[in-house]
Amino acid sequence: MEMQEDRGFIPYEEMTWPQKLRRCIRRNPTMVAGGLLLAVMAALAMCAPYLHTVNPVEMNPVERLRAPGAGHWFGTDMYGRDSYSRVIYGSRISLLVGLVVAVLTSAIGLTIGLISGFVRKLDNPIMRVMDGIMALPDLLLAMSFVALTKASVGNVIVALVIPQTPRVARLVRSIVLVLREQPFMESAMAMGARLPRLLVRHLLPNTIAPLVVQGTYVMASAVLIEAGLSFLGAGTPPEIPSWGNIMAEARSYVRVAFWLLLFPGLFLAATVLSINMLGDGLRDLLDPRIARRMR
Amino acid sequence: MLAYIVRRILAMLPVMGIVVVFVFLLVRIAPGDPAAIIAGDYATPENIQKIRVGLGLDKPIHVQFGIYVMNLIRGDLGRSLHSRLPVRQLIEQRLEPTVALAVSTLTFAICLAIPLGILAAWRAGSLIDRAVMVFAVGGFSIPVFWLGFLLIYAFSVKLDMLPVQGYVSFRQGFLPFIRHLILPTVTLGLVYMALLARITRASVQEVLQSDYIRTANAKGVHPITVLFVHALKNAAVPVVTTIGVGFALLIGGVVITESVFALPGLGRLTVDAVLQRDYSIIQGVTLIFSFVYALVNLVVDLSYTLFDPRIRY
Repeated sequence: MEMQEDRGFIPYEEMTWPQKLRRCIRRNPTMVAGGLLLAVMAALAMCAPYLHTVNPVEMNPVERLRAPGAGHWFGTDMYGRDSYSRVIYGSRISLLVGLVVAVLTSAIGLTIGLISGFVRKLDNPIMRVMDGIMALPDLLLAMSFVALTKASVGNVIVALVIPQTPRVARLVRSIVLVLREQPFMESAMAMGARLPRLLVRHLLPNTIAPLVVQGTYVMASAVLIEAGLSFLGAGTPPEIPSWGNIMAEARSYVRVAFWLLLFPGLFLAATVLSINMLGDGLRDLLDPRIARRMR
Repeated sequence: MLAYIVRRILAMLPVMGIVVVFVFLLVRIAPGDPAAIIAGDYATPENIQKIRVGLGLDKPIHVQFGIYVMNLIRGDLGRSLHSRLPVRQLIEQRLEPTVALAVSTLTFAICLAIPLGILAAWRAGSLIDRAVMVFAVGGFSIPVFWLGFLLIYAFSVKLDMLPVQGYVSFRQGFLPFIRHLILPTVTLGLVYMALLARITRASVQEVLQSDYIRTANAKGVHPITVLFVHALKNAAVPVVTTIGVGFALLIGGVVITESVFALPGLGRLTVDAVLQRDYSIIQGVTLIFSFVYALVNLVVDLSYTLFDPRIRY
């Protein structure tokens, strides 16, 4: 092999993929850690039946309130259900709700923000409605919606989307307000591009980065609020194990069976933490200036 | 300045109007008939209809709305559908624990978070900075009710130092009042503190990079003076904004904390009302909370003039 001059570093184009990976980990430790933890949680949720779990709703009153031990890794609850299985299956609901809420909020907020930012006549009325929704505290709004409709996962998702959408819409709108004065927009319009093309082809790509960052925060918030709703009894119906549900049932057993509260909460905190870490890392990576100001 | 205040209060009215309409419609569109729930499982349709007429729920929606707005202007928030007690009276009874919790949480969080954030920004990159950042991200991720139960387990069950639940009014003794309030305050305060410390640190750090700070340091001004006389005021605006915006977080947290610690406050009233589909209480409480939130944000906006004289209304 020829002698290469030692430049003291390897240019990005010449890196092998293990070197690129190491570089990524070194530069963004929190993002990588958060992403890995989230991936682990997702894997747990998806592979739930294969992880040594039993039926999470199967009651076994003989085995009530056993402490964590050999047969039941996280103990059993007041009906004899295996806590470990319930926690693992509970992650499915939380992650599903979080993801769907994040995607829906981003999609709807993006549409509203794009239209509101670009079409001047519609801007004021749309923003007044958004302000009105934002004036209501999140939890109260979500709680009212779920309790007034049937308790189901779908309704919980709608209840969580409504309070979060205005924030995303505001974010997108603020970006559009800045961008619509730019020369490239003017030239596109001069070339005859009509509204849909202007919005989708020119404005939308510039909103993706902050949107993704905001989306992670929305997801974290959604997972937390869903758990809070379930805990208060205004969320996921009690037949479906969700971390909030499990903790609601366990609250009378603080003295005798604290493990029932410990493990779901631990998993919940870990999941939300991983999402937040991922979001922070993405934000630092993608666009620190815009995203920080708008959060 | 006065003109600005008046203009802002007037601007609040359409927003509050939208809130009123929104809550009114939300509560009535949903399925789940309060008359049927009040009547119970074994009621006949005639009973249910009689109850519905008695509650005024049989009138067309716009008539109901008109009646509601007229009452609102007079200060009458209606009557609870279940207990027939005036909503206003129910709210006044439950106000004290909620206000006590909110005030103590705000004080606790602000008094701890802001110095922590300043310290972390001043000694950026050091161990304390990293510790504060870890705390900020971690604290914000912990669910409030889990933290509450953890603290109950640690301090009440295991160490038996503090009461598990309940609320004692300060009229019945200052020490029991404080003892019952400590755990809820710390629970809610920690989450709020995490958010605040993080924003404070980011804001102060940004200000400390400025040229005029570098000049002051070069002139030999004492570091404490630099920090508190030159830097702090300029860093205040985002921090105070977050205090205002985080207030909505606080309201949600108050609802959950009151549920965990069995405090007889507005949060519990709301939860019970929501689970019973008691329209009047839900409308009343939501209105109150939204109004307070809007007021807090108004105060925050007005306070900007204190910190940045360039901002003048």
